[in-house]
Amino acid sequence: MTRTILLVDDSEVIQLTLSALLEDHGHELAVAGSLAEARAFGDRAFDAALVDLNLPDGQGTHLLAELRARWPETVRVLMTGDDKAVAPDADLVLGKGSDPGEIGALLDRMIDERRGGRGA
Amino acid sequence: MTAPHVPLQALLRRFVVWEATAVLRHDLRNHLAAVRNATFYLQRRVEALAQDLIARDARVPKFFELTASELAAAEGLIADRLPQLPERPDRVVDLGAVVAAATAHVDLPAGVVRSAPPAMLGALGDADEIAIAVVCLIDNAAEALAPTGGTIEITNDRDGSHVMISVCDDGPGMASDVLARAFDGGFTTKPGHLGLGLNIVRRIAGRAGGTVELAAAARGVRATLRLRAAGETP
Repeated sequence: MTRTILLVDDSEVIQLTLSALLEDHGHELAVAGSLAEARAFGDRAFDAALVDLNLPDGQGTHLLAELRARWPETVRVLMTGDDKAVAPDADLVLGKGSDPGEIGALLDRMIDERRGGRGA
Repeated sequence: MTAPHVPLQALLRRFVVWEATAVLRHDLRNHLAAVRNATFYLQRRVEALAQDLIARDARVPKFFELTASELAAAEGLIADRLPQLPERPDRVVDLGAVVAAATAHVDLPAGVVRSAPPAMLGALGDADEIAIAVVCLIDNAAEALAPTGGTIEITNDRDGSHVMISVCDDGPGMASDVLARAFDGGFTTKPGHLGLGLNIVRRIAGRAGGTVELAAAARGVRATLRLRAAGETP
């Protein structure tokens, strides 16, 4: 079954390249460049959300908190180039230097684990 | 309780370097990540769809490997060689002394006055770093008031397990889009400024397990630094 991923990053080149990798892995992507664009997806629930820390209209951590409250089953990943980022509402803080060959499989494992009943 | 004990100007200069480096590190990682993602995608596509190319030209797979290893080396340089903030242990910080040190450090522009000093409260963190954060918030408020004059009100309060320092000016305020971008690295509306002051505040707040928020006040802007409280109110 195709997994749906919400990708939130204001960098067009990150949107373009990460979407390509994840779609190639078999995921279905919804892409937003800001908190407002992400919120515009409204009632749509995703299997996982990959959210950049610094967005044009605020911090990605705010969106992670909203996702956690509304869709606790959604796997929440904060993407950042900052070594010291702290995100209590994220299941994982993923460095921008992470291996691109691993991200798709990593999301699959986390989604499987969440569906296995670990909860938020 | 501890109070600031190092010259704030020297520490502020160090924080500017650290913060400028952190912004640079973040931006470089974004660029490198895009190149790494794109290269990985191309490599997989070539391996899947152009086996004949790989067979005919040994440089093709070798150059994919070279690109990956060079990108990893660049990432290593960013992680290891650029200066990073040293870790600081938690101490019980006297916020009254911190605010006093910070306000003594800032030269307020003519026509700008500061309200009475706040009550003493204890917070967890590093006194020097929290003083730098308050200096940046007062500087920010003072710059907003420089053209017109006005009042900077510094208050603090306790809310359960947290203590807050608020710095509020009664200046012209910030448009909502400016407020939203105020913590972006390098974002400033002031010519000649680096746009790092609020980033420094946010980094210090995060290191102390706290947060900082900006909000429109009745007049002007209220910046609130929220920190973990240290035991009972002294």
